[in-house]
Amino acid sequence: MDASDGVLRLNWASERHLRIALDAGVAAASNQDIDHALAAIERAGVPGLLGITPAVSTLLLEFDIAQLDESRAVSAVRLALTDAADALPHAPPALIEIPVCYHGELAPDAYTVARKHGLSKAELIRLHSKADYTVQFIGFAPGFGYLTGLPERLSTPRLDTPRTRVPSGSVGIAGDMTGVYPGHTAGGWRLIGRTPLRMFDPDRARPSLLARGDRVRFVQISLAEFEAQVQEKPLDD
Amino acid sequence: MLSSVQALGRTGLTALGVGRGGAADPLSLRVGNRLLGNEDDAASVEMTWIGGTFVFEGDAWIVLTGSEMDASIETKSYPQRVSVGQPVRVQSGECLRAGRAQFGVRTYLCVAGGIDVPLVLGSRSTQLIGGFGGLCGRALRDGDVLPIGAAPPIEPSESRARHARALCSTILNRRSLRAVDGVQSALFTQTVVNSFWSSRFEVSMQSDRAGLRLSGRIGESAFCGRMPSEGMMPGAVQVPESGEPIVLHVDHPTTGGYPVIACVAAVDHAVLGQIPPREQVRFDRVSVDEARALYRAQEQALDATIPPCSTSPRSEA
Repeated sequence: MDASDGVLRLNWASERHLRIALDAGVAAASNQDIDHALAAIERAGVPGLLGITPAVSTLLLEFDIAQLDESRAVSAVRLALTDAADALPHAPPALIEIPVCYHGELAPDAYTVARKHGLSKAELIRLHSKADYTVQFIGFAPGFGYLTGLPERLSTPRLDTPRTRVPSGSVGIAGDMTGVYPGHTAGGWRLIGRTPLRMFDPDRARPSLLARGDRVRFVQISLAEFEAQVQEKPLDD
Repeated sequence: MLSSVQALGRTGLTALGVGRGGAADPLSLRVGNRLLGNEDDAASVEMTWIGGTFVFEGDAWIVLTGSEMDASIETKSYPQRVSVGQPVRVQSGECLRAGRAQFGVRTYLCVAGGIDVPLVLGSRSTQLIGGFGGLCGRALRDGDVLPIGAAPPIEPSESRARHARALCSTILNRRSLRAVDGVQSALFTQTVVNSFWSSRFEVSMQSDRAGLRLSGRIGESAFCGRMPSEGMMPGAVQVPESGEPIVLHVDHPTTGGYPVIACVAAVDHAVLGQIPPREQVRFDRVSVDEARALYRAQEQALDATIPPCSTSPRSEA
């Protein structure tokens, strides 16, 4: 099945995953249509829907294959989408301030990145922390938000060889994006600072600090402030 | 070598970056649980390649499923061999010595009552990326103590044990993976697509719970570029720059930017957890409808031969 719904295309990506994407043939289609579609489907209550993975210009819907009636599922989704243009997300985007220490060992790639762009480290910090960012989507690891809005002057390719383990809270740059590693992963982004905040905590009411659509600002803090605020429990319990 | 507490994983959390996780061979886990009267989702110890020594404080019914392992119970008199699919009663003070996996990759140590670690985000599975769930969000180490839940009454059945062994054997022996066309299959040239469906690939040593890396390029220009990241699922076959496919598995990142040429059908996801490195696999193309029918038939056969335990709630210890 490959159906078009105005600006959106629906395909089965697996026997239980329905993919919704912008129709490449429709000039007017924009990522906002995906935002509206997400809001509409979330509030519609589609039977058998287990979860949605939203990304830049797609939604991936996972169904419970034991309960799945495929044509009813598609009908329910298409019905939800008819109201999509008016749908608003159930929670308005938040403004999240992330304290970042750009000091010494917490920022192992800061000098390299600054030098690549003919900047001093202070200028790098100023550019990075003065910008307004938006969470494009959460992916890669629990609580990892891909942030758009990185000043062009800071755009830097990934490391040739990723680190096998990136410390929790590391702030990185790759290409024209920035983001904060939640920890316990490898990583190829250039590390220019670290936040004392816990980006993901499964015991919190809102486990991921960041959500799709949130606005983010980085606020520079000193090493002393960083050490005082560190919330992360040690990796070895 | 990796042992961790695993149940069936988590759903509905991909928007937070939390993937399914859970047992890499969920069929073997469920079979073991059913043999002991547990719910399908009871937590077990997933052992990879090598087991370990487990000392039991208190009597317990256990069963091993998945890959046959060189395993025995050290009793007061003589070591008692433990085979896959055969529930065994361990007495307090005795220990289970689980050695090397004999044929596949993973063996499940299931215990009547399940491994009773706290639920985190709705599951007892260990989420290694993220460091939560299971026992303290990490792999098991020497000295760890695993609590066991209240055990349901068990009625050992020779026919159920026989079916369990047969099913585990089927999973371990399968080398052709049924798969549907991937979302980006139209982005590849016909030559590359044909090459994919007709080639044999070797599973590389770099394979793990996040995915199986396959050796064997499917064409000089198989890579058709990165795309904007989108939601991924277990079984998705990505084609990165090297042209060598990666089959995503239970701990895969929830989003990815490599084009997907195929998606392994759910009926064969358990197989992904049991193919050793250096073994060769190929892909069998099926339609989405066929993939659903295959999965449903497998579930019906499972329920008919090794029925699930009753779904009425039992009291927790």
